[in-house]
Amino acid sequence: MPRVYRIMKKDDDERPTLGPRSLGVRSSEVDVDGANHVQVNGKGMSVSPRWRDISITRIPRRLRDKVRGALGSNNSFCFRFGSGPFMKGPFALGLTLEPDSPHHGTIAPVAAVPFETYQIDLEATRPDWHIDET
Amino acid sequence: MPLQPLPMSPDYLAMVRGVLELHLLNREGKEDSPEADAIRDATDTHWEALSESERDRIRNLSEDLYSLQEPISLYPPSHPHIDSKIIEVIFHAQANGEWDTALDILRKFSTHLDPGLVSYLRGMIWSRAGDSVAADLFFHHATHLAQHQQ
Repeated sequence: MPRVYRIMKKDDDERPTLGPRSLGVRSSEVDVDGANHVQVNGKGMSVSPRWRDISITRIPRRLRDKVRGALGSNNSFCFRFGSGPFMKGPFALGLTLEPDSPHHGTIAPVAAVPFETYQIDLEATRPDWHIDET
Repeated sequence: MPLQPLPMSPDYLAMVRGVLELHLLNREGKEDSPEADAIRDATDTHWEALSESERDRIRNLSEDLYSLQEPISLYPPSHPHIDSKIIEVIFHAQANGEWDTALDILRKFSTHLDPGLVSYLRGMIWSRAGDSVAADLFFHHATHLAQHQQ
């Protein structure tokens, strides 16, 4: 599976919390049709190949010694998933990585599915996210 | 030949405004507020559209903005001889429109300079580079420190 990073809140078990600003997507981040099916058009949950590529408004302030100017919430953490190259392809069951630049991509559904199904597929990846701020 | 201000794309300007607003919210202890979340959501797309040099410029601006929150008691004494040498180099870079270089030199030697002077110079550079909003924040800080020293 490709290696990706995302900044999220963490739960007591050191895994990401579930939700639209953590492991999940806001409805505005995807396009849905009249039947509430998420469209397959490259949109989805944002990820990056390196956590240092992520916007400084997301990177926690406590990491300023590693990324100048970081001003994200200190209650957020950099999570890593996978270990393979950052390239288009399978990510997890029902999900695919869609890079749109060398430093950004989205985790999108492989087919048009109900929004709830997409969310469940994203949530199923939770055990495989690990905090990595190195 | 007139100096060229920094090129500032709409994405760059939107990102800078977001960074300025987040610093203001952080100062008020509202880093986890819904307002802060909304700014982060709104700036994600702009960040992705920036070049690496623009990203670096914003990282540095944000780091400089942190200096506005440092307690006054941590400020070092001023050394006029060193000050004048550093300022000369900064003015030379600025006179050539090398805005990033001028800011980098100032950042590198900021601990050797009077903090009020550092903020004044940052304000001056940003003003001449074409960002009056960022400039005003540093000018305001310089004025605040000058009043504190009186």
